[in-house]
Amino acid sequence: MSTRLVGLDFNGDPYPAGCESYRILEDGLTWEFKLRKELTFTDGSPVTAQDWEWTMKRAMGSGYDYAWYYSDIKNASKVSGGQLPAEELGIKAVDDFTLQISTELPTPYLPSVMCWFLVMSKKAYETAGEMYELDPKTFNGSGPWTLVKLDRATGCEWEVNKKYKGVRTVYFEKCHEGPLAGGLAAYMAGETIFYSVGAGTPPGEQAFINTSPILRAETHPVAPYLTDYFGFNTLPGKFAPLDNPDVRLAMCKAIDKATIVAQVGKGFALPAWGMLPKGFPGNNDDVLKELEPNKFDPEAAKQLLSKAGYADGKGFPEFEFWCRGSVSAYAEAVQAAWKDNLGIKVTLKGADYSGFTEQAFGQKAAPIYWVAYQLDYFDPATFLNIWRDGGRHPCEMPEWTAQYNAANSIMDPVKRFEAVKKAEIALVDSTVFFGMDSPFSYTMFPCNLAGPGAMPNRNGFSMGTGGGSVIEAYQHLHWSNSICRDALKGK
Amino acid sequence: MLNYVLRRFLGILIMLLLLSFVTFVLSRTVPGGPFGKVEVPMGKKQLELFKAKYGLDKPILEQYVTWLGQAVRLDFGVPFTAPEMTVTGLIFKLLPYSALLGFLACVFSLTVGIILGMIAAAHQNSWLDNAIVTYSIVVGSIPAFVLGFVVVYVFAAKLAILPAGGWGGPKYLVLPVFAYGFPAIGGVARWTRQCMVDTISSDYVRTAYAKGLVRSQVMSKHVLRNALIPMVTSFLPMFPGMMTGSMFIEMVFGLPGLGKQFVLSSTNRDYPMVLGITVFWALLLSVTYFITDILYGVIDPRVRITQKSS
Repeated sequence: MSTRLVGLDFNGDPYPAGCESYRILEDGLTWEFKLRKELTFTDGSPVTAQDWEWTMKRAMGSGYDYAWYYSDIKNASKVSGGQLPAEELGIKAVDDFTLQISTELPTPYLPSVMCWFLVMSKKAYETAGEMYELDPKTFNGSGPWTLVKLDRATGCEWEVNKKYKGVRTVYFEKCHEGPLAGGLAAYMAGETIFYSVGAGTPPGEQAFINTSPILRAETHPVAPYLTDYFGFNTLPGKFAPLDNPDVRLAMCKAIDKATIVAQVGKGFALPAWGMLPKGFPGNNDDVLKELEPNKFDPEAAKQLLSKAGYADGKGFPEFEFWCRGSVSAYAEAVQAAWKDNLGIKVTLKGADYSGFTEQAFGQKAAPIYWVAYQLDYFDPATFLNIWRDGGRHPCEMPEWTAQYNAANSIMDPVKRFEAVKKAEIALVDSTVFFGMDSPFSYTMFPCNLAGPGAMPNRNGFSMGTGGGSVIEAYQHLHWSNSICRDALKGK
Repeated sequence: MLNYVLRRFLGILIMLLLLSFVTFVLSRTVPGGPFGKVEVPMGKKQLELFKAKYGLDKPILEQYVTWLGQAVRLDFGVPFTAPEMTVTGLIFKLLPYSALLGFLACVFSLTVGIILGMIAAAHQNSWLDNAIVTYSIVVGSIPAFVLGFVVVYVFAAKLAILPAGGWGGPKYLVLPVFAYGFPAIGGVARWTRQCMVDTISSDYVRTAYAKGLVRSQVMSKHVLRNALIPMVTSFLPMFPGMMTGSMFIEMVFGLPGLGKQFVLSSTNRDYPMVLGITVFWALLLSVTYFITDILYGVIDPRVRITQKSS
């Protein structure tokens, strides 16, 4: 219903969406976006640079829960932290169709960051209030769809915005967004057109899919977008001896990652040797897997622990191991590995999303924590930015932060990726975290669904169905006349 | 009787007051909050702005008193996740879906279950009795959502005669009502049989037979009426229970409803909605039990006599 400043294509590459072009200015800190003059809101008024500027400043200055995501923008942290007024934010409308965004450091990946920046109508906000997009009478979007009905019980109804002149291709004239039946049977009945198969899929259902030639042909791999890891609270003296690198290294080396991932992941996960999942731009698995923390060696682990004064785990405090959501089977495996190989006991604790965030990252009161991180865009920065000092984790790494920031700011993409790889090596070696796995899944969609969105991307992954929630799904898809599904209903 | 009714109403009010207070305090004091579902915790200033906007920056007792003042006027606030509506509006928007599904499933399971229970009791210890008891144990052990997936596979995916889910008309209710009500038949049938068997073995039933009444007269006038007392107290609360407890069925069949909303509100820490639904459910159950007690007196004159004498 709204237009993004930048879109991501099926390969994860950024392309101009709300803008027609973007470039970095000579100062190396300012990105200039030339906006599409033909783009209008539903009421026919043009989408101007002033709307984009106002949207960002309003969000960052009025308590935006994802303000951290835009921390690369100049003064973003200070504006969202209330230390500076929103006017000081590094975004400005140069003229009606030229928008400039300034950054604290050179930020070569900024266009990708802007894939989540959606424009609001300043005029509609001022005349109808902040909920103008929830009422069809006041709705004023800039995307290919316009709101016809919003019903909290039965869902939303959308119609094609006939005034839309943007880059998205939409084949459907109407769209109903509402509760849908779940499960494989509903998918087979054609009531849902996507179904995900992963580690959580019951074995019987997996076998059923495998024995059906049609269903099997409708199953497509989805790239791993997520890294599961556990982290140590290394703040000095807070949870000693977790602030001792030897102790952390011992705890890492006591874990047989490859075996655990094979057992727990049930064939739907790859070992995570660092933060970037396999197949992700900048992935450096071949080097990372040879680093000491990733080498399973229980004898060496015992010696390291003994050297730190905790031979056979004697005298080692019993720490809490916090998990986001329910207690993970991976965390249980790690708990068992530490007990068996080092004599260290930990207590597993599950907490819901917000409770965990508050405990582990807000209060920084979890000694060890199990968490996952999913991409926001296709650049190493999406996974590594959160490790900078001032990010979410309970650790202080000024030297690493400086190394990473320097690497991340290199404008030459080849040199940048090489430098960022070195920074990731240093991060893994620091043992502030231990990457465990990158789960992956398969997506199923009907064989009579066609169009570019139904094709595998350059890496062989299916993205047109909303890969990792980043790509704008359901565009470039349409029904074909194929009768390939008829056999599912016994015709 | 009036005194009894007033005492019960007072009890309900006190219970609602206590329940709302405990829910209010607990939901707001557990770690995290409605604005904590992010990868990186919000800064102090951002959190302050959010809390001030939703009145969460005041002491909890003050918040509760404010909420209570509004609640007595049936204003339960605005859901965080549906800010264009009120809590009351959203509850009554979703209630009809859950209520209709639960009511139909109840009627279905009670109708079939009571008939089966009566047949079993009338043929106690026969092969028919054994078959019905075995059947009711097996049926009662099937989780509704498992049955849901099975019926969707058979009737929607393979036979393509009924929709797999969604909301659109009577045909959309057939599978969910069946999947929801079918497992409940087992419990209803067993309890009906138990109540009937207990009554059949009573002295007054033997006396009725001794007086020369035929079996149908004994069953309808003496057995069924007396067996109704424990059945009513058990089956009437089934209605609010099933009308509000259809979360899994709502998920499987993609139906709108209060059960799903309650779970979503809890995980999203939508305080006003959680409190609103909790109080509403408690009120619904209390009123049902209250009505059950009144009906108890209507069905069984001994209860009225006991109350009079007390």
